[in-house]
Amino acid sequence: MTHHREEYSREIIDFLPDATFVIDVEGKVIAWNHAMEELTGVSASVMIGKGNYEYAIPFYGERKPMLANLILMPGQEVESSYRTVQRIRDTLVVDIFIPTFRPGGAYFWAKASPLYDPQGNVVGAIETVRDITDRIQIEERLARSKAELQIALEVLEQLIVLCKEFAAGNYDKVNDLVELTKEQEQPRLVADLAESFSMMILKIETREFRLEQIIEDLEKTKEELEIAKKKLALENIELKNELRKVRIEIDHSQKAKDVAEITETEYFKYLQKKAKDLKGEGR
Amino acid sequence: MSLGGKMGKIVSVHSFRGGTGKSNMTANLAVSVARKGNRVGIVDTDIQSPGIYVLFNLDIEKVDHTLNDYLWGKCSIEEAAVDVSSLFPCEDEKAAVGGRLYLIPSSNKTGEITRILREGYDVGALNDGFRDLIRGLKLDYLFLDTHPGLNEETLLSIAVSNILILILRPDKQDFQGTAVTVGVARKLQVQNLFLIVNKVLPDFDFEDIRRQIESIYQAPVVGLLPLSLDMVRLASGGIFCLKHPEHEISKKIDGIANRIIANE
Repeated sequence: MTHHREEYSREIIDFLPDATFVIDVEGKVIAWNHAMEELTGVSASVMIGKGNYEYAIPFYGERKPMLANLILMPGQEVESSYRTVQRIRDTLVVDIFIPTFRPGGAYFWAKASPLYDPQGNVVGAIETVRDITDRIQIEERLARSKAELQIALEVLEQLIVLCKEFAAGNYDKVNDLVELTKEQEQPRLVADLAESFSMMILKIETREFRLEQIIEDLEKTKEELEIAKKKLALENIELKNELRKVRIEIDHSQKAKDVAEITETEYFKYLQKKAKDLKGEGR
Repeated sequence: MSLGGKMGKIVSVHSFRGGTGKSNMTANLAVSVARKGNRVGIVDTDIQSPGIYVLFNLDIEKVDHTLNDYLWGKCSIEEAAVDVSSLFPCEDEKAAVGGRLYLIPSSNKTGEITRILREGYDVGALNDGFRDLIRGLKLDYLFLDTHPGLNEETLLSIAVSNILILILRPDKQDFQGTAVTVGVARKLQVQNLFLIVNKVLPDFDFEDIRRQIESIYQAPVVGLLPLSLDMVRLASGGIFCLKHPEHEISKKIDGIANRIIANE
């Protein structure tokens, strides 16, 4: 009956979907199921009856206690050997990363419980191992994506703030934008976006700079024109004043000669003599 | 006017060179003085180139006698006087009673002009004529429009004048000729010598010109008149101060007329 039960149990174990092995209190393998054969590449016929941690070799490449051994060692420190350790009564549930299991390593979930005989004596331990590498990698990718998304959101917020500044004509923070393009941890998309913005701002700045130069040149020309205008106005005033002035000059010697020519005539002398009388007669 | 035995004054208007606006100034001044209630006469002594009658729209062909006829003894000078008072309104009713203007024109006939130039005339008779006119027509003022330059009748008109008005333009030749005329006039003991600067470009500094002229000629400038397009447009077609009474030039002429009247 007992033999039948054992046989029955072994068959159940053999066909469990998770890789499972059983050891007796001496640490010898008494069961190594098909899923375990598949996972480790080591057949049950080779492993059954092996002790001295032989079963650890396919996992670690060396002989060392596995969870099934540890559960048979009361008071043994377990936590330092695993990523996570959970104790549910006499059962241990752990996570472990084994870098040497395959290129790139592998994550395993393992659960081990002691086995008892009908009298309640510990007769061995059973350990189930599940390759959770795919799940962990997906979780890690998800976490990474989440983190990247968070960074992208933060950078985008910074971009919005910067763009608002640029829109208001404040280009003091262009350097901050350039810094965003250099950020190592941020997603490529955000870096590209920041770079595009930087180029855009650079072009705008260049254009504005050119415009400022043109305005500056125009201002300078205007000043020069105003100076020229003032100078011209002054010259005009001087010219006008010159034009407005009439220089009255008399050739006095010629005048004396002309006057004498007239006053020395007989007729003039007569008029001169009679002038008073003539006027008197007029009165 | 012309009351209380006060005798009329002779006002000679002269310029050394032609084209100064002398005849225009004489006509305008005479009209202005007459409009203030004075009896005024104008003798066109510019026998060689008469023209003042044109300003009064006088039809010289219809005139019975001219100054030439008087000088040849064909008529009395009063007979050669044409009353042109109807041309202008007096400034007020009271003044209208006494204000008259007589013009004694010279002949514009070429033959008569050449004859008098060739044969000459008794300049003394001209002076008598002035005296007769003042007495006969009871004139307050007798204006003499003279020939430019300094010939015998000009010298006579300067010698007999109580007021001599010399018109000049801001022009080098006018400045020199006027200096000669002033020199001659001083020797003829002209009591009142007034200067009028005519046809001054509006851009010129009028006060500067006045200062220089008064300093050089030692005589008052009674008028500085700008070169006026309005005057040019009128082109001897009438008496300017009657056509444009509100014009700047008319006001200046009125000022000179007041100066002549005030000069007792």
